Amino acid sequence: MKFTSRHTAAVIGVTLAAATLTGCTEEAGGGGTAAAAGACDPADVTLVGQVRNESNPYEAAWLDGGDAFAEQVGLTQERLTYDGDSTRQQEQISQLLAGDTECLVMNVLPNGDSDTPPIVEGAEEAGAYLVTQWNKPADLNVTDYDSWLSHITYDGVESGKQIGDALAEAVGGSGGIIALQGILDTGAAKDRFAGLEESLAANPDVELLDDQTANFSRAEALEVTKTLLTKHGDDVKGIWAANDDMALGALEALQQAGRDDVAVVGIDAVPDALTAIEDGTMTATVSSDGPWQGGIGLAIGYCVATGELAVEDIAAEDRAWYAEQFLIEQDNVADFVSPETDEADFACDNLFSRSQGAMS
Amino acid sequence: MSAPVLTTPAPDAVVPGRPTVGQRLTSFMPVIALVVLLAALTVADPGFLTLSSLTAAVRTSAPLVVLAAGATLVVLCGGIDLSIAALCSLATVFFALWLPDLGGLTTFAIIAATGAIGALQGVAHVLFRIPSFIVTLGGMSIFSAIALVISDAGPVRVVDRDATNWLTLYVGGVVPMAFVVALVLVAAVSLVLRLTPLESWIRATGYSESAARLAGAPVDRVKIAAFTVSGACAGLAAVMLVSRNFSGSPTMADNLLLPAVAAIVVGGTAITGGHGSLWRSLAGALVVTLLRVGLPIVGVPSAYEQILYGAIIVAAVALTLDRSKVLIIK
Repeated sequence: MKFTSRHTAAVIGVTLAAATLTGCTEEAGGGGTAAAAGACDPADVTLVGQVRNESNPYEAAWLDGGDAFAEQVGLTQERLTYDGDSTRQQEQISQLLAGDTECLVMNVLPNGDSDTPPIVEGAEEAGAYLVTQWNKPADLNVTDYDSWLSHITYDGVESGKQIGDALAEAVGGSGGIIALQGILDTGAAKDRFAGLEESLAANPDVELLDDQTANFSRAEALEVTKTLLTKHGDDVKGIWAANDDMALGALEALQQAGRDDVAVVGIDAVPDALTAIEDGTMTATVSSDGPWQGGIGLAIGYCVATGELAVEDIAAEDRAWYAEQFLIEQDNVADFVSPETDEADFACDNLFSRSQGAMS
Repeated sequence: MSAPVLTTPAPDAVVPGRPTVGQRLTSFMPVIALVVLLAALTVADPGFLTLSSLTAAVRTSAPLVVLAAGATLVVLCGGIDLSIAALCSLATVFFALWLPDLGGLTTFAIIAATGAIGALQGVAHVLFRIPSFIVTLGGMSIFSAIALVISDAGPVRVVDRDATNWLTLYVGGVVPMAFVVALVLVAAVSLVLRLTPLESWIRATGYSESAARLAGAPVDRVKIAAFTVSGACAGLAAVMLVSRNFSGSPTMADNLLLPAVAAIVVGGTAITGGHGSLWRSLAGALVVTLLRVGLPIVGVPSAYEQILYGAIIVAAVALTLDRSKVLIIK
């Protein structure tokens, strides 16, 4: 590829000329759709669900829930995944927003808190309807935006308390337990442990023998549990883990130690944990209901896009809210092994029925 | 073992005569590959070929173009720079941390700092005679680790956007400023190379280092300069990423390493050195970006996306590499 300096100079010249002659603008040309809310024909709505990875069973179930909703309204969902790569997520979103955004509905799982602001601002500029879940910086307010319809997350204190109570019941209301904490500087780990402390206050005969972090990791939980079992021996009647992966690591340590008298609880409802609950080796876990998450975000956007719901009519407490989560024990585990969505949950007048209150 | 592929090292490669039609075609292959890919994406989803969609794609490509352009210089010298992505991630963290103190000067400070780090790698490569692959592999781990430590292993938000706002503007309402900056960079570096003996020195170093030394080319200094520019480009790419994501993160650019190498190779620059140009890498970066953002958007399922990506990259290289200029394929 022979480029002479004349060609090079020409390119620079044209570039500079363009820069000086035409000046700069804030937005790309052809923008400014600012969709008149509710003007969309239901058939013109585009539904997009974006999660990290389809190889993660929870997130695959999320997208399946989105498909179920799309089918319910006679559309298809575009399934996007970004491999847990923040840069890739932003690239996909900006490409998506460069297309036809007038009736675009996005249900997005931001990779981390700091990935939410650019997504939100892009959607606002393009006039696409956006629902985010799990991650957002605390100081970013949904009510400051028109296109960002809602942010859904889960109350970690509540789930930590739910499994704490289930554990207390499993050990007969009294005895020693140990706690495996998550990555200590995440909100989820802090909230969930605070929930356990609430549960302990309500069950004064349950004694917390020890709490250590295993960083949400199965392998680390195995090591930590081995050590704690050696230290406390038969005093350990139950193990509280801040997620299912650690609970499964603890189960393995118990198996290696030949102990089958210890109750184990976790959070997330991963398939292995559900199997363990079915078998009776694990006591309880908590589910956020992935398929519902995949459907509800699209449903909120769809209802607003088609005019059945106006943004102004969504109550402030429904713009950023905690959704209901479900305690899974042996008696109801069958309902969650192959979770399905319920059409009634996605009806436009029933969208916020699972709200447990506004995010504090 | 590498088998020398004996093609005629054609006399017209030495005496720049009138290029044949075939040679002309090969030299424009990266552009042809780009057009073919764009056409294919448009066939898959007719809505893809719109002005705003293309605008978004070139805006996305800007950091990759800059990264690939810088690394191309190192590749032309016959080396490789594997540290660009990690250095770029580190620079995004530096940017987020320095911005409150340095304000508008942060951009220059970042480019100067990453340029210096690049130079350091070049010096290590030349002085201690360690292969560039190893030096920059080490650099990659070191930069990643430093970025994780100084950022507390998490993203650092950038609240004050005045310093990066100019990069988010659009020239003439259409061309994203970040892409214009990338174009100007490629043009400026190409021009400097062409107007100075640098280009011959770099090519000579890439084709045959010992011959270049005998011919009196300042091989060591040329290599250090190439690493310096590569580092500085990583810094500039970091500023572009921050302007887009409003945050710096210790892993932000890590996944751009292979796309950047792919961009260089797809452009037709020989990974063995000597033959190639920054313009080729620009075309290559656009091809790679179109693949990265285009495939999922036109509805290719994520499982097939990686397969297609790999197959298209290999096919593109088969098309773009000018074999008459590369005698040994390793």
